[in-house]
Amino acid sequence: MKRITSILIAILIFTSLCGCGAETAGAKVVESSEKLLVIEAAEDGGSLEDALNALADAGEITLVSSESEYGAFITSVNGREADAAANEYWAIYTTLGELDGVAYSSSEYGTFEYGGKTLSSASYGASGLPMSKGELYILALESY
Amino acid sequence: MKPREIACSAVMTALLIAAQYALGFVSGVELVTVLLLTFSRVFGARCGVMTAVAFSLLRCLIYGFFPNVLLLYLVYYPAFAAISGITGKKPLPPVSCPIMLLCMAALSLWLAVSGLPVSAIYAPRVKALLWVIFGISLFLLAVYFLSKKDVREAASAASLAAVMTVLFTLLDDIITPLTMGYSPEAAAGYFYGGFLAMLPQTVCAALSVLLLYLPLKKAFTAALRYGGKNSTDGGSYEN
Repeated sequence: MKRITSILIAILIFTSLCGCGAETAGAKVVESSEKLLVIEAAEDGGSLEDALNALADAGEITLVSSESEYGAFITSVNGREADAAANEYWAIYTTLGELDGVAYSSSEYGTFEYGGKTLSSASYGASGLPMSKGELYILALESY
Repeated sequence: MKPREIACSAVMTALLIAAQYALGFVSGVELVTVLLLTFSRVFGARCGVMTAVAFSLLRCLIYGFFPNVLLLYLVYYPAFAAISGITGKKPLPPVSCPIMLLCMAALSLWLAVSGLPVSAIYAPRVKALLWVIFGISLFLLAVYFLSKKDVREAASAASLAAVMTVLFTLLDDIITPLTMGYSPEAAAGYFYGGFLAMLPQTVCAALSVLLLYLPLKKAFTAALRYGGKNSTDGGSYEN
């Protein structure tokens, strides 16, 4: 009986770990600093918010957001809160351009240079931005 | 401008700011439309416009001074208050409400069937909301034709509120790209993104006005009569 219980516990731990791996497999952290978070989509599917939450659940980053009409509004990344009094905010940039006739970013809203690539300001918030394999997503602390 | 009108506008402005701030955390829910519409109908267009201007300016103390937002509010809300006040005193022709509702139903049906180029994540929600607006339009149409005079008035006010809420977003789709200097492509992206806020707000405006218009009208009318009895400046609000 003890052996069966041990095997069951081992299976449970194994599947839990596999589950954790699957959640974070959707995105990987490329760079994480006080004012910058760069992640790369490892597979298609889900939103940037889902990927960020999975990374936060895995303990790779910390994230605080509030709900708005446009979905999640990110207020703090890795413990660095955007200071509203100083007009700070967490901007989202991505290499994801047009997909299936929908423009997910526009260079007219702003651009961000990273690793020799030019990322454009996202047209949607983290909740409306789909993860597309190989694309970069940057959260940068900016002010206006 | 009578002192009592200024006092009423001041109280209403505070109420509008409080309502917007209190419900700011609830996505897609707002009561500014029903409050301003009913207030303007009872107290008149002049009081309504004055309140709308004060509200548009003073809310910046909470939400910040953004030129495009300030311009949008200063154009939309006084116009909304003026239309509400004028239609309260001189109702629109009976055929106007069914026409507004049929147009809204047809437009939402067309957009729901043809689809909008919005984020794939939001597309199902947008489609569902368009079907909801289509259903609400038909429901208001049925209420308008089948109900008694006062409920018909509420349905008419609800359809006006829904149409004006759509116009608010369309106005924003013009003002923001112009003030920010967007290209046509970026302006188109902003236009489609605006549906995410517009659709729930339209549903909220239609339902909140349908449900709250009559009780609020009763409360505001009582306040107006009470003010009239206890004032020395006549107690009537002629515009």
